[in-house]
Amino acid sequence: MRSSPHILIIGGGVIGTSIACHLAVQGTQVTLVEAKDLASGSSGACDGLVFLQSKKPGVHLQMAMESLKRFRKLQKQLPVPVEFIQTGGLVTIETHEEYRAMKKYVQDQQAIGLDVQLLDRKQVLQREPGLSRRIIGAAYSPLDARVNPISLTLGFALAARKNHAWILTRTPVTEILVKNNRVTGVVTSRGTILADLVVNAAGAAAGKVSRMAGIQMPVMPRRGQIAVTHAGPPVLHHCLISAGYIAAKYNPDLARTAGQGISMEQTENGNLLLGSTREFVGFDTGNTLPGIRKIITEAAARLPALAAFQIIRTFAGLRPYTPDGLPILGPVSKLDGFVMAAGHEGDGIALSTITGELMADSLLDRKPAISLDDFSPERFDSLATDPMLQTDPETWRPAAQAVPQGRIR
Amino acid sequence: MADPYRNTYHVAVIGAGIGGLSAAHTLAGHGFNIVLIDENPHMGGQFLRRPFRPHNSDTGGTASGSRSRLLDRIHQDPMVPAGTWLAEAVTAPGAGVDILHPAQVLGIFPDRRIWIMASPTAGTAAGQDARLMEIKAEILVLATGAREQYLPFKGWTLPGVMSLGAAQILVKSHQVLPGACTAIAGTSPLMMALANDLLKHRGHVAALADSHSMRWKMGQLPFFIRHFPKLIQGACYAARLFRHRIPVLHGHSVQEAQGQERVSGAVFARTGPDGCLLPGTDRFWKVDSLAVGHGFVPNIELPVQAGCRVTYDPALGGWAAAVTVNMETSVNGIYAVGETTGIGGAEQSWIQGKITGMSILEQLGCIHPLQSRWGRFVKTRHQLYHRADECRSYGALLNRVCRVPAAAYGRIPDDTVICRCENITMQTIKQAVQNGFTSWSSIKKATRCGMGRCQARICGPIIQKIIQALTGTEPQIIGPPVSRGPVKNLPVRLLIPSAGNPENPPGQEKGQ
Ligand SMILES: Cc1cc2nc3c(=O)[nH]c(=O)nc-3n(C[C@H](O)[C@H](O)[C@H](O)COP(=O)(O)OP(=O)(O)OC[C@H]3O[C@@H](n4cnc5c(N)ncnc54)[C@H](O)[C@@H]3O)c2cc1C
Ligand SMILES: Cc1cc2nc3c(=O)[nH]c(=O)nc-3n(C[C@H](O)[C@H](O)[C@H](O)COP(=O)(O)OP(=O)(O)OC[C@H]3O[C@@H](n4cnc5c(N)ncnc54)[C@H](O)[C@@H]3O)c2cc1C
Repeated sequence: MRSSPHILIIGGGVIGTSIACHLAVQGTQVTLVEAKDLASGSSGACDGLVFLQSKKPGVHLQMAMESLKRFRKLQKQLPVPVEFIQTGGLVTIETHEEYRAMKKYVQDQQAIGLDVQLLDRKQVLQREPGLSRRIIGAAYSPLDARVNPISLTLGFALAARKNHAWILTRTPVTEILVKNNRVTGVVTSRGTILADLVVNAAGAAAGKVSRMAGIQMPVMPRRGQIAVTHAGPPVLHHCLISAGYIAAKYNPDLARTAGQGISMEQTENGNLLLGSTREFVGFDTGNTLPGIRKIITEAAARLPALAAFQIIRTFAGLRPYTPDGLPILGPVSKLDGFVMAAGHEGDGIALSTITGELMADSLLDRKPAISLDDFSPERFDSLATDPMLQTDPETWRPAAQAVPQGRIR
Repeated sequence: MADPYRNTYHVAVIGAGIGGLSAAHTLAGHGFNIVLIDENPHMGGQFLRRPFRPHNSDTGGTASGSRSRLLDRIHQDPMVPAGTWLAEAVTAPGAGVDILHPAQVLGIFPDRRIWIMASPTAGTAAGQDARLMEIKAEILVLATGAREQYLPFKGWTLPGVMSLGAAQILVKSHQVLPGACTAIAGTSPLMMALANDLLKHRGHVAALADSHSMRWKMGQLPFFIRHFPKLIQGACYAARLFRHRIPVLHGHSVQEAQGQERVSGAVFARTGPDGCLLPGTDRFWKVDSLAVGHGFVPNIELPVQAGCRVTYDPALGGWAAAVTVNMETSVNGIYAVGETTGIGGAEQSWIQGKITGMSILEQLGCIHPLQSRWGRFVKTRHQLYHRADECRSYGALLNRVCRVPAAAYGRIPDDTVICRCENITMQTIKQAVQNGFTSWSSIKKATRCGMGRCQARICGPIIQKIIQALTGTEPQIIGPPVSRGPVKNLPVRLLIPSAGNPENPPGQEKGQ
């Protein structure tokens, strides 16, 4: 590799801009190409939870913990306020099955040193008096936080630009140039841009973008719908998710009975964000009546004070889904100069800072603080004949829908 | 009254202004199930404003109708009796049209499913005792009309400053004067109409400031010759103002609304050709209310949500739903009619409603080519096409008369609030534009403008014009405001099972 490569990043979401920012502050020559506007993809249509408790113990949780450390320092480096606040997070428990599953989960997390504890109903209500009495307990961690995902993405981009990164918006990449099994640049709506390294940070569209280079990557769009209330008085002081989803990870039977799950947070402004569904419906970012109805009723059942709020808007984002729930990070060995940085599914915001740093190190041939081996694109080579890689993402649906459609986190 | 149990219709018409009424009337009597939905407790939209109650005298002075004068009779718009007749015909028992009002359409979802917040009793404001319902229709007609547009100025958020339309609603529907002494300003023909309404109801008008100079207006006169009745109407309005010695300041704009808790005075200043205010020409008027308006923009939230293509054209009043000559939108089975498709006055809505109705009848197979009516059908339709075109040309004139020089939007003072819901000032917007956020969706992300309760219904068109003025970016590139359901705020309590909400069966609750 040359001493100062020109690195081109495809995608202006939180991942692409974070990588651009981390590279640019080190004086690297960076170009970021975004098809629409910055944060117009999933990063502009999501919650802003930086939740540790929801991450699987192991490398996933390790990434999240490292990311959190960096979030604390981040505000000083970015030119706009990103509203990062460690509110503490609650994982609410409603049934005794959930309670048993969560108990084991919390023990595992405590074993690796995460500051988390199980609260009973009284303790939960002390912390969060507005919650429904049907909640029998909760797992609590003071570390869980939230951030404004849009400001975060714009902040990374503005910081990158300050350090001379070239950011092009409304410029879709239509082709990836390959010569002698080496990427040489991209063709965009505004012409050809040559580059030594091309980073695919196209979020849910990363599969499509890979195909432009003749590479198959199992990244699929997974829709999440969200409802937003007007800015009201503070009624929720922590970030909150319900145990349904996490418990189901440990006990698949619960997925069927406990089913419903929900996430809630109240932003700086006082708006409540209520989320969300997990659906495979191609690249459709529409909202559905059953989807938003379910989110709102589920949320109101846990937070009765919600009844006094009004919904002002709904929207939907496309999570970049991968089969094992981990992002795909690092160079693609089959094609020189082509690097993946996508597939964070529901954790892209939380993992953005660490991803940017690790990717910058990897791109500049330094040893990353956490090994990227677990995230290597090659781990999916065995999927080469899988229908997932053969079908169009528009029409692909998982064979046995592990998580039923319309399921709420 | 709508059948409370029915939830599928052949045709659902959203909006009971002249456009929606006309479409529903053309469709009625052919054996189809038709529902007409409007959020207002009365029929006729913005045009037919009638008193809610016969009399009222609580605030802001009494308003009582004056003796009908010759002037009123001369300038009465022929569309008023026509519209009144339409409203009666459509609502008559046996007309075959289900009327659902007051009921707000919150959203349009795939397969023409519409989500409605309906008040069970007509006459109460929507939202009280409301219930949610869902209707599916084979064909949708979007007749959501238009709303007013503003050029913000210092103090425009003070209580007592209101839109011309709001003042008109107070006088005409609630029979209440907006204040003891009102000033009127802007660029809209509605200014004259409002001044007349106020005078008729014994209100006091301090002054009327029209941003266009007398000379510019005279230059427009020849274009209005084709629309002679409108000229007569204007002349009658002017005559009444003259008789009451109301000062009319041509080439003046409002510079500032003054006051502590509410408006106590208005400052008007002479306007230069590019919309700038000339220093040293300001004049103060002591008033307790100020009505302003700078033309109209089509309500395109529902068409956008339904996925219909919208186009930008200043002659249409900005972004408008794109339609074919038969009023079909780009989405199969969805029609748009009236000012949703471009500002053009009540007659345009009426004609377009007829065309829509005929096209739908044709689509539903009611018009067989061999039927004897066929010949007449074609002829009538061609006559209607022709009249619709004439209305469009009047609309283009109207929009030109309402237009404010683009540069004026770039000169709004820095500390003026632009997005009232999120409290975003001109300075913040300017800064974001300097940082390169020059599209609607990006400036919204960078500043939070348009993210509040009104979801950019007020500030959206203003911010687009500011970006245009500051950077010269074409509106097509800035992009139309994005719209997602619910179009109007939806109280969460309506979605909660129990609480007398038959539509939400209980049972999802987990015992504990
Ligand atoms: C409902 C919902 C809730 C969520 N909640 C959370 C949460 O609480 N916490 C959390 O950490 N994560 C959350 N997420 C996940 C998070 O939003 C994503 O993981 C993250 O935004 C992914 O970022 P990205 O940059 O990879 O993708 P994106 O933000 O989608 O960015 C990809 C960009 O690439 C661009 N692009 C695509 N194709 C091309 C092309 N050909 N040329 C140029 N540009 C192209 C797109 O326009 C897009 O802007 C949530 C997601 C959803 C949907
Ligand atoms: C503020 C204002 C004042 C006006 N005053 C005059 C005047 O004095 N004289 C004059 O000649 N012309 C006036 N006009 C112009 C007049 O509106 C048009 O000439 C014509 O009547 C438009 O008819 P329409 O059917 O296209 O729309 P409208 O008359 O605007 O009717 C649209 C209807 O749709 C309903 N609607 C909209 N969205 C929803 C929803 N989501 N759910 C349910 N219902 C919905 C509205 O309540 C409204 O009744 C005024 C326009 C405005 C905006």
